[in-house]
Amino acid sequence: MDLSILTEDLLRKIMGFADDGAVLIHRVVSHQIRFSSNKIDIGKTWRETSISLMMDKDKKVNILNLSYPGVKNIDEVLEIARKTLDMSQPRPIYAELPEPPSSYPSIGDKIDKKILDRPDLLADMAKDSIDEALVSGARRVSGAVRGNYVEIYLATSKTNDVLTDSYTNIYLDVRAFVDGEDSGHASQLARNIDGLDPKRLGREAGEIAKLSTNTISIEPGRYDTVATPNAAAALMNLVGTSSSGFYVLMGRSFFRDKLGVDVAYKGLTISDNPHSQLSRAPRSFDDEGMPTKKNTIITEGRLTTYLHNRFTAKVFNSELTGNAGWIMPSAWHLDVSPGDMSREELVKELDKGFILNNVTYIRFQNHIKGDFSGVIRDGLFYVENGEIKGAVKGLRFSDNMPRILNNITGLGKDVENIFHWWIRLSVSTPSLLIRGCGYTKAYGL
Amino acid sequence: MLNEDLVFKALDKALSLGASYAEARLQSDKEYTIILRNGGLEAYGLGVNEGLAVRVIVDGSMGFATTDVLESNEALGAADQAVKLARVQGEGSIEMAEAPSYNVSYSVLQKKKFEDISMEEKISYLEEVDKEISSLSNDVKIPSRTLIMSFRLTEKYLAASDGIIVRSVVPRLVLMGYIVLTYGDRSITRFTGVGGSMGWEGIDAWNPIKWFRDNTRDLINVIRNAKHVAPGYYDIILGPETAGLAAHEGCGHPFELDRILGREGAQAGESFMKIEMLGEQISSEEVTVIDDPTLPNSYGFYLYDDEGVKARPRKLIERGVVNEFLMNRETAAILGLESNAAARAAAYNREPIVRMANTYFAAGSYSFEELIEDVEKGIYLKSFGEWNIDDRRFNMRFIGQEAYLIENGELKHPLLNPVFEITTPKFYASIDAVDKNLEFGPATCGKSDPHQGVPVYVGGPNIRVRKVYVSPPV
Repeated sequence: MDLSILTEDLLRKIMGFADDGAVLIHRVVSHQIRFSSNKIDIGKTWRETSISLMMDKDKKVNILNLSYPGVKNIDEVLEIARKTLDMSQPRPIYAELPEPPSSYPSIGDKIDKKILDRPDLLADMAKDSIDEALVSGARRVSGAVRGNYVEIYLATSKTNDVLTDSYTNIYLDVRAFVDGEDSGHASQLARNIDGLDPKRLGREAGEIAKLSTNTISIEPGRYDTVATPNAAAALMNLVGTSSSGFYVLMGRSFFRDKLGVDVAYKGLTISDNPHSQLSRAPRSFDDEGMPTKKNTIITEGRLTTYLHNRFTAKVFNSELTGNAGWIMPSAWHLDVSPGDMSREELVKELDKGFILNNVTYIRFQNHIKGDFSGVIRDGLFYVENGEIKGAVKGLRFSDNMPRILNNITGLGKDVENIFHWWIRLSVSTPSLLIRGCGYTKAYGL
Repeated sequence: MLNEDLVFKALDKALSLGASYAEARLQSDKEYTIILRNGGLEAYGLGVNEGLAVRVIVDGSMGFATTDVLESNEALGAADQAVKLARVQGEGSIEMAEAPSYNVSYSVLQKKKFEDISMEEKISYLEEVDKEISSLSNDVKIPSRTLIMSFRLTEKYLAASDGIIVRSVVPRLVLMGYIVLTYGDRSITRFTGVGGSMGWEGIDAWNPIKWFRDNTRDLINVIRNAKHVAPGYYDIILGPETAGLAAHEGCGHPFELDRILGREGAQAGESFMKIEMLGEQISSEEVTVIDDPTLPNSYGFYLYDDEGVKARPRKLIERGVVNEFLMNRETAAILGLESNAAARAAAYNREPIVRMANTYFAAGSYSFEELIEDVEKGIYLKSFGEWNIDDRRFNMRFIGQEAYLIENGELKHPLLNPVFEITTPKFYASIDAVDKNLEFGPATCGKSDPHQGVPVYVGGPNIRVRKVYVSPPV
């Protein structure tokens, strides 16, 4: 079925009873190769079409999400939706769907057909990363490589035509083990197959794992830290989620009441930039039909904007930012501005400190205050006078996001584009030098 | 109504292309969601996620393909794709453990069908909950209240090439809330709720209004009166919520055989448990940990798993001894065992992998009063805020949200976020008593890439952990 025509047809049906409406269709074809212990576990492929319908009437809003089979009963489904909309309630804060612009940004060539057509290349990439990690000293290698082809169709009651967009992306996530906790990790997201370097990732993961075998014991406490791009991405990802206007309203953000306030190191600038060549989602329009754009969330340490859809923009009396999801706005791709120091120069700043390579399982005790802890894995190295003394096991990263943002004192120039199973947003970031990070240790170790 | 013919067409196609094993699963998840924020309707949504998954083994390699176009040619195409994805890997060594053949159906009946309850009644109920919470606001403010009612009806039709056929229908209803309390410069953010495999009758069974009222009252007491905890050694009583999380994270996950074998190595992680630890005493005899998918009306309920294996309660730890791991057919075959029905897929477009269902400490013989009566210096850690555990499930941390000091057998004032960070073996070795109360709550357990969130119960009895180190937050 022609999905443009389906989009138009569905919008026409919605507008038979609604004041305003929108239809959003995603067609995704994906391939994934997963591997562990040096061998491939499974190859997967998905072909999915998801259909989302939004309808407004008398300031009431109803949303339907259907997989493709839902289309065959669409009249029945819409009749239920119409009745539900009648019985529903007006939103306390309502804004109409926005008027679209006359044109949208062009983001250039976004498609690599090989991602769609050659799953065998993904299997080769998995094998290349395994081989390189083994050569670098790992004994076991696990990971996943996944390629996605995405088509998007959007029509709203305010757009004249069906807006279409499409792109590909591919990412590889490699974890290498020597034994037990001696592990290393590397990941990368690219928009085409040639942009991904499986051998480099395998080599880096293997080298970190090997370096992790030289274990020393260090007491918990506060230590200056160089967070490599892998770890920095996990922390900066939290800036992305906390900048959503929806999360701010919900009280799940440490940026609540901080707009216009200095929240970070003066040298830190963080943007949401879907137009970046490194973006996982290089969208030219958001889910409400507004053009996407680069939004600078933190400008030289100051919180300059939240990210909005029509409803959160109304609450905050703000301009739309091109980040709409229908329920909540979200960042597309984070760019952390680099500095001019090499990673080695950052490490030389450490009298007694750590190189931190990965933080996962981050959980907040208090979202508003930003208190959290995360599990350290894949290489924590103790440094004295700029030299690595050994790997440290069993410590936990326990700190506070506002404090971390303010305690950054240096930025590397070693930008990497990170995306993996824990981070649901592509983050392009250099290494960060963060003063006085908190590390705790479990009783029994 | 699912078109069951598609399943057999896909199976036949996969076998004709050389698969030694094939399974096909039609699954439909219909989900209704209502979100109320600060008393106003934020969003209402209906989601239908429906499609066909085909999983095959070809020359010892596994392929998996899905389609959401439920037509014959697409079902055949999915089988073809699954075989192709297996073939690009080359020769492998994957086998499936033998499993008895069944042709069965089961369903959980809704006594009050959620779909029959009017939209007004559902919104009105959430409004009542919100009013109940906000009416408790005084000098303690409750500036943000987000309530989420979610109902999912899951229908599945599964067939495997070795003669297994299973049909099922399971409804699941939850009412969750995210509440923010502030008092001076103090604040608490709390996510909690009720739910299970039921229809609208769950509202009567769980009494969410009371649940949120009691929770909010307790938190108001905490935010107003909590004192800092002095670092040191304490006996800790973990309430059902926290004990349940400890059972889930510290026993359920490390007992997943795919983790032990390394299959989740790059994602959720591996395990500190080793296969040779089967039969080893790792805890006091007071400890038995069960994972039981068959608990009636539980949030993690099922009677046959997503490989068609009949479910049963699994005693992971029995009187302190490692008794069995959680296995699907793929991992059980590696040990030469039969699967114990732990294969679950979160949706039609996810592969079945090893998962928990409802994991908990078996009830003991103590009363709650007996647990605390001989505690000289202790903490009752009723609920947690922050928690995490390393990817080998060896090093866990809980921070109390609602916690109270215990002195000489009596509950005293609330404590401000006591931090309890301990290794899993030390934790299990330090449990010396379990009470006879069992309470459960709904949760979503995450694992794998792409992400799979499956419904589980977390809960159990109160348990006592002797002499562990507790500190204030950093």
